[in-house]
Amino acid sequence: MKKLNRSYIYFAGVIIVSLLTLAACNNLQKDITIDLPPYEGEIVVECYLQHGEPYRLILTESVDYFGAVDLPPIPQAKVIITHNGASEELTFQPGFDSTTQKFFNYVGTTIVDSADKGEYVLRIEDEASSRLITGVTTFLPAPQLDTIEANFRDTDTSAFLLTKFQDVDPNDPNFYRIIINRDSITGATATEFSFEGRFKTGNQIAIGTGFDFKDEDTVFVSVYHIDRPYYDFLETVEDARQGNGNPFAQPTVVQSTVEGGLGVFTALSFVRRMYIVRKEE
Amino acid sequence: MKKLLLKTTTCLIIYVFLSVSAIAQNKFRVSGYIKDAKTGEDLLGATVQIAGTTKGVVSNVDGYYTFELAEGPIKLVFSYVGYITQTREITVTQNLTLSVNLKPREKQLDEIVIKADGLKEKLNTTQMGVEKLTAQELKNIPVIFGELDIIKALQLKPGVSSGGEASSGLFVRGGGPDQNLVLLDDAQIYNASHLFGFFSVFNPDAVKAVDLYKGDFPAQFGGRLSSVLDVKMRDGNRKKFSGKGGIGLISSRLTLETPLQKDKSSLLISGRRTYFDIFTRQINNANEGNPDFNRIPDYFFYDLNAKVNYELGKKDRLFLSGYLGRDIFAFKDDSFNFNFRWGNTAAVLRWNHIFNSSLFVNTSVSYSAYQYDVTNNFDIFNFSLGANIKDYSAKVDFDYLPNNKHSIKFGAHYTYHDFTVGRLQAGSSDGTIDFGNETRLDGNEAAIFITDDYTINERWRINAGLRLSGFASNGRTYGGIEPRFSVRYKVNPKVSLKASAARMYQYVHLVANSGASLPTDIWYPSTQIVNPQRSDQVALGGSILLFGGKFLLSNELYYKDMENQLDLKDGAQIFANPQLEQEFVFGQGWSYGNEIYLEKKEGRTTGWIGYTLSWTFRKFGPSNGNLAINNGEPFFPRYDRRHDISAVITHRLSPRLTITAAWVYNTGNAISLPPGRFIIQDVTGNQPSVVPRFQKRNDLRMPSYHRLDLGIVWKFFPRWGESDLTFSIYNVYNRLNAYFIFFEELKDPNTDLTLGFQARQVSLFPIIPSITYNFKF
Repeated sequence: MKKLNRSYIYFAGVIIVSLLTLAACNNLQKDITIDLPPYEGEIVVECYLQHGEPYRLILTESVDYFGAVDLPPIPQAKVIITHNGASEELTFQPGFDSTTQKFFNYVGTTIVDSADKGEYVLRIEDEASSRLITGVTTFLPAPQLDTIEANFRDTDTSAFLLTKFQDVDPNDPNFYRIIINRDSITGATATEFSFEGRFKTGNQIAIGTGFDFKDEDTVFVSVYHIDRPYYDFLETVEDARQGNGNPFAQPTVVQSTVEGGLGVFTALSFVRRMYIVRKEE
Repeated sequence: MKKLLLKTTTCLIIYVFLSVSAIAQNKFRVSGYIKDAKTGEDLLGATVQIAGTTKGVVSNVDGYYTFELAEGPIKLVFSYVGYITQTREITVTQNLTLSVNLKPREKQLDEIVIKADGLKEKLNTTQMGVEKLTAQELKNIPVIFGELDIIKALQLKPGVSSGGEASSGLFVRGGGPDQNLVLLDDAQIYNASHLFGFFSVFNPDAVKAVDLYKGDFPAQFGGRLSSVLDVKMRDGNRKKFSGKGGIGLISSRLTLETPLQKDKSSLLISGRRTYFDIFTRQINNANEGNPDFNRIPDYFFYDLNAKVNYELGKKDRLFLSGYLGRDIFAFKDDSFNFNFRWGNTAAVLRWNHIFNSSLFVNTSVSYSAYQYDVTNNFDIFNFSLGANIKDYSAKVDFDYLPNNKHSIKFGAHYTYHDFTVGRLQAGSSDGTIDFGNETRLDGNEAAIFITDDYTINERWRINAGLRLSGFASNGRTYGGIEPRFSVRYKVNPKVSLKASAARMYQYVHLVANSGASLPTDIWYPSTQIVNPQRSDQVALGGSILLFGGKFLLSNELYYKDMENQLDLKDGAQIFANPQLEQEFVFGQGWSYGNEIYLEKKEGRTTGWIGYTLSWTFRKFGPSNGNLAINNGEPFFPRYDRRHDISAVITHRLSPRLTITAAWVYNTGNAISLPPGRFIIQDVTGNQPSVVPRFQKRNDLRMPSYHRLDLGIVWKFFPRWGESDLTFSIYNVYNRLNAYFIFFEELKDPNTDLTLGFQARQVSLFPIIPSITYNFKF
């Protein structure tokens, strides 16, 4: 539904853009200099726990909007993840995961088991600046995918995908995120949004895309079951992005899932399927 | 609550009728209608004065006046702007009816000297904080694309701001866009704008009078905190078939009116429609078959107004008026059909009855609704989404004038509100998808009121009123006592001092999740969790007539406190959300300011200059289980304006040619910009992105806004009637005012690596000339 809301805001934006185009003979955009209020950098953490993977996170710092392009790492922090009473201090070891194409700079050795539903507690101390970040997460039950269907348009070869899956717990509010990548899990993102699983046929949730796919396209459909704090984080991040550049959007303060800083600490419970779009004869 | 209302009503009515006993001896009442001799339409605000004195009365919305006079001969002067003044000599020996038809100045070729009676009336009245707009003022004010717009004209008055470039938003003395009671012939209009606020819904050809109350609200009005916009539709020509219209750059309008029974009844039908879609369809057709072309969706809006009035007898008249307006955005191809439509519907049946020359009543029933609907059909799937509010209202308003010293109004209003705050339905023809929900709420809103405008003596005049209001919804009942008071002290015939105080309650709230007004904003009632909004406004002012009464200089100082303000938490989800209340945050607001206004209504050069210095604040602490906004600290809403200046000068060069210049200056909108940024890689690192780090809400300002508009009205007088060409130039000196500011990420086109960041300003409208052809027959 949030997606719909944004659609109307986008629509309003389209009208503005059209008006701008009509007046294209005038230079209606220009560079300006803004004196922003002083900004004190905040610790930013991004840590996704994933089944079968070791603890890994990236720790950086936010900067002045017009400051240096590269974000400063925080090499001296004490990063500890505790699970079932066992704590591990992660070591500063910058690296790049070619599978997920993600950078990280703190790593551990503990391999995550998503079947274990116990709490994971994150604690990051930066003694140099007396800053402390904490966060807690657990693995939620992963959703079960029923079907992925391709529906082709009569007039051309484009198709939309319809992904159907079961709501994990019909008695409680559940939040989901769907990501569809082309060719590989790190390929171009064709569809991405988060939603509350309120609208169901029976207990089945159906999510459609635009006519964005063609015959023989290979896609990876991932459906995540996410908790409310992560959902709020994703939504407020998107609203903050909208707030920079869309006059109809309300600038939004990002709600992190961690205390004392910015970012996210969450366990990823998801189902993923590769799908080849085929037009049935 | 019901018992309390009943008792209070009884007491108030007893008070009213006890005051009747004060009728003086040897005085009689002269009353009647003042009408346009050419069309038979009622003249609202016409003046009846005893010749050679300052004593007089003004006709009401139905053109009716009533005047208590001493026995004997007397000379009465009937006048109205743009009409030939009439003097009647009568001998008063009993109550009598004297209706007068004033002749409009033929083709206005003679040198018009507009009497400044309006200024004297403003000086004399107790009413503060009111702006009145005449059709002529409206016609002369230059506007963007030549589209005459009542609300844009009102934005040029002090204390009223627009909220943004070319917007038809109405922000009055620090109030929000939902805090305006917008009435069209007494029916409520919930969303008074088209195209995301760029145009207002009022077709100027169908409008008779516009009053905007910014404070000192008369007791007959309630339900909103910040302003009352009272728009009255024209009745239509009772003498002969006639019409008027206009052809503009983006829309055309046509109004037809005819007597149904000469001098007794008339019918008026008025329509306006834009033609964006006609051009976009041509573009689409021209590109048919072009694989690189994306079809442009159709968009248009229209307004339809209709009014019938019928004189049942000398003492009874019936009025039936209606309004239908829609914005329609549609896209359709072979397998995809998207429709998004929104708009207002209103209908009012009013019965005006005169018991006698000192007591008359207006009874009306009305229906008004605002709705938006999105429907989307593709392949075997369908989807619809919407929300609406429907009001069913009844009201009875009495006017009682026991003598010239008292003008008493009392009455009762009732509205049943039916809210669909969210409706969603999705399905497929094969039945594999079928879900939806609908959240409906209702509310009963009622009020009784009484007010007396009491002239104590030449110097002192007071207006004291009381409104008792109540609202019940889903087992929760709220009541509100709303005192209204104003006083005028006339220092001398040219100087008056005024003060006023008013409390207002608002029981329905607009749930909006963006900084701008969108058609998808939802109206929501007061409930167990959502308390009614309340405001208290006090004002002090003074007026002085200058230069022989040609100029009126007014000053008003105001303070307004607003409780139980409603906003949305960050990241709120408002569509089809059955737990919508969980997204609300509650807080306070306050505003204060000073408005200076100099106006001239007499002679070849007329106009006004207004300056407002004001502050507006909102504060939302943690509430309703949600985080505070702006850490609970006060912040400026984006429409807060420190300085606001408007100057409108109209000069009649000749009977055919009138030129108008309007200049506005205001402090830039309060805005939020992110002082910091960070990067999120997300679960896969293929698309890392920059996230703006917003902190304080609206702690920065856009650059100051200023603009000059010019308008020229060139009249023609063909045999069949009148016509004119209206030229307007919006933003004459091409000032590129900031519409919004954003931070752009600069990337190396070859490597896609980020090089840096740059602030950019976007302007919306450069200089825009336009021309409109108007006609009348």
